[in-house]
Amino acid sequence: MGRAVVWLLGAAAFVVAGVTLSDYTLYLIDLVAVTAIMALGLTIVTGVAGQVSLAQAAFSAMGGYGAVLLGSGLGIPHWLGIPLAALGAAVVGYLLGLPALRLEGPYLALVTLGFTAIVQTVLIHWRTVTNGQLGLPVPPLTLGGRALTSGRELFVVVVPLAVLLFLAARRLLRSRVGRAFDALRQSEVAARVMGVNPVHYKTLAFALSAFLGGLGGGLHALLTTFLSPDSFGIIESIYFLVVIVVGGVGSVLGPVLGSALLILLPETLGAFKQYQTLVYGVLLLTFIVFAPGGLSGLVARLTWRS
Amino acid sequence: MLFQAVASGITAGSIYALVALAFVLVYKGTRVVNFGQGEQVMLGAYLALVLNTFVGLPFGAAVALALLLAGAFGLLIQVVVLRHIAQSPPLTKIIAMLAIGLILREGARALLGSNAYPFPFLLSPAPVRMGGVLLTPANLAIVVAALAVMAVFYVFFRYARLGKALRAACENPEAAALMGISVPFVFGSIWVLASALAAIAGVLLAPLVTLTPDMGLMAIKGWVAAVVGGFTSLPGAVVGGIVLGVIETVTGSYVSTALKDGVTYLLLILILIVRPSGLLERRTVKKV
Amino acid sequence: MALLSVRDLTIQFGGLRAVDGFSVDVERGRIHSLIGPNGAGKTSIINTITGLYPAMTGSVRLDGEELLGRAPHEIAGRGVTRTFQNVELFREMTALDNVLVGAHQRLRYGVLGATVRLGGAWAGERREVQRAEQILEVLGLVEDRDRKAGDLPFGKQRRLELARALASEPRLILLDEPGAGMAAAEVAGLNKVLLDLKERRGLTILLVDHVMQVVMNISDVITVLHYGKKIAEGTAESVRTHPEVIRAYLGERRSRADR
Repeated sequence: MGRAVVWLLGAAAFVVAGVTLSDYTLYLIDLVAVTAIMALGLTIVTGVAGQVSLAQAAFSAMGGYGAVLLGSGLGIPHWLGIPLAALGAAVVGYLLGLPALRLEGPYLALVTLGFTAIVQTVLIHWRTVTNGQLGLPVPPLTLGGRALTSGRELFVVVVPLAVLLFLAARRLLRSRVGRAFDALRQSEVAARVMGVNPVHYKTLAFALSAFLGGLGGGLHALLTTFLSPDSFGIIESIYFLVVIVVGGVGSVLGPVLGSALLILLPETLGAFKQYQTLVYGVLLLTFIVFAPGGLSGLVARLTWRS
Repeated sequence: MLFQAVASGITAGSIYALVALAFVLVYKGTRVVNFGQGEQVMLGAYLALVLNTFVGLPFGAAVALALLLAGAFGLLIQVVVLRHIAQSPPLTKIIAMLAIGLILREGARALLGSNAYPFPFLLSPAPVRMGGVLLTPANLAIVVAALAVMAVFYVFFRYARLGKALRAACENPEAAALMGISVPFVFGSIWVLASALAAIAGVLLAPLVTLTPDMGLMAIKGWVAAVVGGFTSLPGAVVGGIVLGVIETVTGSYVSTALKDGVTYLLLILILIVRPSGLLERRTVKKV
Repeated sequence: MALLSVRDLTIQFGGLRAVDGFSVDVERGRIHSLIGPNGAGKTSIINTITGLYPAMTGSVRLDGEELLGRAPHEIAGRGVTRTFQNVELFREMTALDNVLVGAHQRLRYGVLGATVRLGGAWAGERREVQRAEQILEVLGLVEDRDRKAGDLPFGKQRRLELARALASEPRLILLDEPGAGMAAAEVAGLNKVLLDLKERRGLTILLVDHVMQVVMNISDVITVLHYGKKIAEGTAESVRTHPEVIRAYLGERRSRADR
């Protein structure tokens, strides 16, 4: 009963927001939703399964560039192209997960770092396909013959999709799959002995993170309407890390809070907007040292107390 | 043409070797992978630049002071941040080092802008012909300086009392502690040394590339060099650096400049996939 | 046929031979103890049987099937489970979740099943949660079901490890010093649980320890290990008076007599 009420309120809020808020505000919300989707992938592979991944920017690039290229090369519309590109990213993610089996912590971070660097190098130099540094314009999403370009129009697509993905992720993390990921992170030895197949679950975690990264990347491309290799480097991968650390590493709420903070922060900085990345760095360090549970950890602590 | 490429490669490689050395030093001594290493390299270059150009110190003094300050900063990192998270999971340490790197990079950008600064260099840029190969004085200076630094380090770790104590602590921390060598002191010393080393690499690198806040991203080459050299061996880091420099430049000359960077990353991934056991020498099954 | 047949097992670490030509038969439905001083190779044997460490030579057969060379999760799938000398719980998970991980292979669904709830995934989960609660009840942990494993007192942690191991309904359970660090009363309680498991569920238990007193009362067979070699095997009584065993433990006895 209580669940139905929450759903109703949520739907009402969604409709009210879509109608009353300004286009720019809705655009920001779209950005938060899309970033949260990509960060969710990182939450699964790094936060829950414990596999350090600095490859999220690369998967995002695969989603964005993939969707555009499927559209221009094969005429596949975005509503199909984006999920397909995401699936392609998932396959690559699975392959990246294979070296993960033998590598720990910093070494895995280095491999994923190298992977991101390679992908970015390819984006820059494969000019015939990606247009290199000149960048690639992103055609709009068309549904039912109508091109969705404004913040409001994309809001209708992006937010429900994000909600769906997050609910699915929450279910996943509470299931035996989520338990297997969590067990591998906390004690791989015990997990294996209890019957958890590390090969299967580590590669699965990477595949899932890549899928979400690609999907979010494709949607993000719709919002930015332009793809440039500069947006998909090591620093961008670190941004996703900032999102989940600040938001809260192990929980589904983390990416949402983290994305909200990181995207809305520059808006509040006003004149100091140029320093936003510096602020990100300071936040990252502060949170990882003093509040490793992130914002969602603080929220949990507060609600526990009440 | 090959010799030319090799000569340039050795120059670049010497710098990679220094970065790799600093990296491996920190890893061997404190078991921390310094993801902010590149930014410490950048810090060294920027400090020298600021002290020389804005504060007005003569170049030599500027460099010396820059090394001192860089070393102090390294100590600061160790004492303020790393000691605090010594018992935290590895992910925390990785993220903390990435964060420090980010702060350094963006701090430099905030203070000095994204513009590339020309780096003051005493020697003329006119190339000299030596044995059929064109070398600039900068190339020579860099290689000689790098070799000199490595020689000093070698002597220090082999013969100096402090150096031997540090080495002992790296090889066997428990025994060293029993012998009265203070672990915090060792960690602090290692960070100071490694940071100074990174700063030297920065000063040597700056004339070759443009001085921007993003120049720290070249550190990945130093990490690859460390991986090539086996990750926990100091001489290996040096060899790895030079090998990487040569491979990179030769690929750039003979295959394509686009592949020049790519080959580094490919090498990294290949080695880590094919020979991970060479890296984690302590990677046994966890004792249960 | 014995449930577990170990033949000529040799385990080496670098230059050190931890276990040398060790053979033992563990009969079905028995509590079989493996004892020996520290460093005798007992944990190595458990690690090798469960696939965590390779053997140099030898064979380990469960009901005739070779276990050596198989991955740990495959061995778990064949009904072999274990506890650890230093408790290896999933400290951030609740007690219930710890036990559910133990039951990992009893469920089969994957990502699709988890998110879309296909294939009776949900019904399976509910069934396993009920089972897990029953196991916690048997071990007196049901009120701690939602507490984080890392927050539990040590004695309860040991019991939770046992609960987790039982969750998969194993044929053979290997216990590595299960009573270490427990108070005498807790050890007595543990012994009672183990006997109960043997008698009512027909569980086969291989227990490893270095203190004789812990295992004397509940073992059907005791094998004594010394520097990686078997030096005696039999009932508790026969082993206690065995001359080789006395010699191996002589240091221990003597020092106790000196107190």
